[in-house]
Amino acid sequence: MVNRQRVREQAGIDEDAGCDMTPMIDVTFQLIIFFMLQKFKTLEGKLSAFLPKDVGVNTTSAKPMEKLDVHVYLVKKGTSHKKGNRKVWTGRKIKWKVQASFYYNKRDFMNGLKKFAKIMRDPKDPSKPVPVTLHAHQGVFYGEVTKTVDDILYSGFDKVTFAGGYAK
Amino acid sequence: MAKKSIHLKTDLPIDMTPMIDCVFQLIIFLMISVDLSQQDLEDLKLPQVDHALPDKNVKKNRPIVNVTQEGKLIMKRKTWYDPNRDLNRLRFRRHLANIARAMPLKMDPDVKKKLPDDPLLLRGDEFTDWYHMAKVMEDCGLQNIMIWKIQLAVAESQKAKARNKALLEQAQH
Repeated sequence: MVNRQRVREQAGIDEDAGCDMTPMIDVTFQLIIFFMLQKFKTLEGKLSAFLPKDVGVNTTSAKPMEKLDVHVYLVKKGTSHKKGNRKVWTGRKIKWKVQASFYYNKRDFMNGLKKFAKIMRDPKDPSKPVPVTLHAHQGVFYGEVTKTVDDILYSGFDKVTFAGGYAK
Repeated sequence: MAKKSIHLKTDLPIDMTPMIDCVFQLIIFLMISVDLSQQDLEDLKLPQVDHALPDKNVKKNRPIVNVTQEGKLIMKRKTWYDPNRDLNRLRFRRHLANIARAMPLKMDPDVKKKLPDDPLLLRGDEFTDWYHMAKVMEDCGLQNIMIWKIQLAVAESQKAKARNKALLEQAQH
C-alpha cells in the first residue's frame, strides 16, 4: 500500500484532485453580464402616420376625399417640476374635437371614434381605409398626440395624417 | 525519520483558460454596451401607448430624428438644430434633403409624382412641445425633401407588452 502511494507521488498523480470551479464561475459571470446588459437594449414601438402631400410648399394637388378631422386642444397646462435633466408635468388636461363634437375624457373620445368609424366605413368595401387628419393645437405635448394617434388607430381607422399650420 | 523527497515541478504550463475567459467577458461587455444600432437613439423618455407595433424589421439606414424637450434636433449623436444657438433651420433642412435624395423614389398615384418611399422615425420626449415635432414635419414637406411617411416612436406599455407576448405565444402554438 505504502509502495503504491509512493509510486503515485513520484509519478505526479494527485490523489485529492478537487473539482475546478473556475470555468463554471466564469460562465456564470458571462451569463449575468449578458442578461444585465440586455435590459439596457430597449425595444421601442412605433405608430405609423403620414404627412399631407398637397399642402405647404408642395404645389401638387390631390383629389378630395372623405376624412375625419380630429383636433387636440390643451385645456389645463398643469404644473412642471424638474426630474433629473428633464421637466415633468402633472395635472394636465386635454380635450378632443371630432368633426363638431367635443370630448373631455378618453372613454367618451374612444366611443365617439368607434361610432364615427362605423358610420364612415364604406359598406361595399369595408377594407377601404378611412383617413383621419389630426390637428394638434397650441401647447399640446408629443405624448398627448401619440396617445391620440394610438386611440385613433385602435378605434378602427387606418391612416392618420397630420395637418399643417402650428402655433407655438 | 527519513525525510520525504519533494519533487518541485519547474515545467508548469501556463493556464490560458482564465485569460481567455476574461477576454471573452470584455468582448461581450463592449459588444453589448457599444451597440452601434443604438447610437441613433438619444436618451429620451418616450410616451407609453397600448397598441403600438413593435419597431422590428426596419431598414438599416432609416433616418431617426430625436427631438429633445428644448427643441434640439439630434441625428446620430449630432445636433443639427438648436433653437438657442441657430438662427434658422437651414442646416437641418439641407441634411434632410440629402437623406431624402438617397431614398428610393416611388410614383405616387395621388399626386402623380415620384416621392421618397422610406419612412422617417420621429422620437420625442413625452413632454416635448408638439410645436417642435410639427416643425420637423413641416421641413419634411418641403419641395426638395418631400418625406411623407412618418413613424412616431413610442414605448410599449405593460399592457401592450403582455398583449404582444400573448400574440407571440399564440403564433408559436
